[in-house]
Amino acid sequence: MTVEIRALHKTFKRRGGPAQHVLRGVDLTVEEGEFVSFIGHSGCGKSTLLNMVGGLDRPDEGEIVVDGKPVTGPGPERAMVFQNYSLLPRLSLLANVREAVRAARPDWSRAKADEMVERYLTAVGLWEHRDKRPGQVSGGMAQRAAVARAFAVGPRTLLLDEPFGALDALTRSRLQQQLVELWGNESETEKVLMVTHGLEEAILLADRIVVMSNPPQPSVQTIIPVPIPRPRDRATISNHPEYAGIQEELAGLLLVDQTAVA
Amino acid sequence: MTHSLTPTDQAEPAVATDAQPGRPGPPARRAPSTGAWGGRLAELARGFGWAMLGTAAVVLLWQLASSHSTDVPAPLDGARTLIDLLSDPFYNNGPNDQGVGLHLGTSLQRVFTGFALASVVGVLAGMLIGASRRAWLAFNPVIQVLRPVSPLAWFPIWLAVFKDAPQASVFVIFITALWPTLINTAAGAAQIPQDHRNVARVFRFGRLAYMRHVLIPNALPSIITGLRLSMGIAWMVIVAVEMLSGNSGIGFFVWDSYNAGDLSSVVAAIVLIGLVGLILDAILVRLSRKVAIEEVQS
Repeated sequence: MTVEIRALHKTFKRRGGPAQHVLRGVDLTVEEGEFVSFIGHSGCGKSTLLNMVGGLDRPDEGEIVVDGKPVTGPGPERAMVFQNYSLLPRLSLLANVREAVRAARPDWSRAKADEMVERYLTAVGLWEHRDKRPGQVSGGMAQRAAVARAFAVGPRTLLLDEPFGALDALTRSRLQQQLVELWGNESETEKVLMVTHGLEEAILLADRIVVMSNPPQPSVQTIIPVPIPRPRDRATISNHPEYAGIQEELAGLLLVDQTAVA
Repeated sequence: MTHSLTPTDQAEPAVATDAQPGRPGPPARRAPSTGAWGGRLAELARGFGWAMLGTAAVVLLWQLASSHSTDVPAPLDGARTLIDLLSDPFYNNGPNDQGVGLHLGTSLQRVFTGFALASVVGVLAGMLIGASRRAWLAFNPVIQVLRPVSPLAWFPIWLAVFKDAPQASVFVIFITALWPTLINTAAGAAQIPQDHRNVARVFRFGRLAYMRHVLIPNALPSIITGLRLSMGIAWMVIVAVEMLSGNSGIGFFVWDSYNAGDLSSVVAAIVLIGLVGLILDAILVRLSRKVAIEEVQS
């Protein structure tokens, strides 16, 4: 089961302004069990790409096929974690996850749904805080609830849009750890697509890193494999012989592209 | 005379959610209060003092104005009549001679009935119009045309429908209270954050779950703003409509007093109407504060 992105084009038309190419001809296949990171400068269309896989946005040309089915709209089999948590502010953390599970999986019994809610809230360490509202907890806790919500609906594909961008370094590294554990061990989730700004984050988490190029040709520039075996440890990963090379290549690509644009 | 009661302070949808109608705050204090109990008491006392001073100034102007006319009652006449009216507010000597309290009660009852009806219809219709672009396009023009019409223009229609003046006044209040509630609800329902919509789409919220968890919570502050505007205008319009409908209510009392040449009763009634209006607004302000506090906490 794969995510296949074929000849994807997307243009934003602004009234009175020139058409702005957001993506021009993206081809990519994400294999089963693969963790892919998307990296690139702002405006390179990586979030748009993720939204289109999620079904929140439609491509102008090309198609996306997930697990053999063309994407026509959003759905819980492609659960998303957004950058700004996107929890419903009037519901407790528990209710946020529970309502999403009940809505997304009407095929599950109440007992099964409740079990999944408890399992993932516990897995992200929020079960004790389940009755708090999103506004009463830190950004890290809110994002953990959003991660729990995404996993709890049992998605085959998980889509993460800069999920840890707004968090402090310590919280971020803890969440990265939890994310990998959930994906690797406990869940039915096979494929993860994550948009990120962080080079280290991309290397630590991904099997492959998709580097996106800037306008006027926003597309896949290069795909860099990360052949570092798992489990990876953020403290020791930089000692791996491949690490420095990957980091240098990434930094080089992004830096060159930036000067080209400026 | 009645056309001056056209509600002019209905908020436009674009600004409605932020509108805090009818209650301008005082200009900022120059020095922050000390925060201690003594400081707060002093603050209160100072506020009270200024309020007394302002009231005294207005009363003085009124006194000066009335001293040049034999028709306008002096402040003291008004006050005497007010005390007189309040000494036995609920007497009932048949339909043509009732205490002012009974009239006020009748008016309140009409306002509450019309307001309640309008709230139900306004909130439901507002949510539909705010949530559906098609419904918005279909109904917005009609609403925009009807909204600036004085609700009193509807009186003959309702009178023809119900053949009953009191019932017609209730439905005039219904029309009065309908537009601000409807328009503000629609504005609130139309401004659901994209994040929340995305969550509802990704996790396939059904209609009910969407209404309960996304639509209503987001629209609630604007709904309450709309209700508050509606109540304020309804309380203004009831006086006018009861002048038309006759028989009972505070508006009838005002008109009846005028016909009896008793202007000090009119003055006393104005004060009473103002005080009741203040209380009604205070109740809705409390409600909106409660919602706002929940908002901050969440």
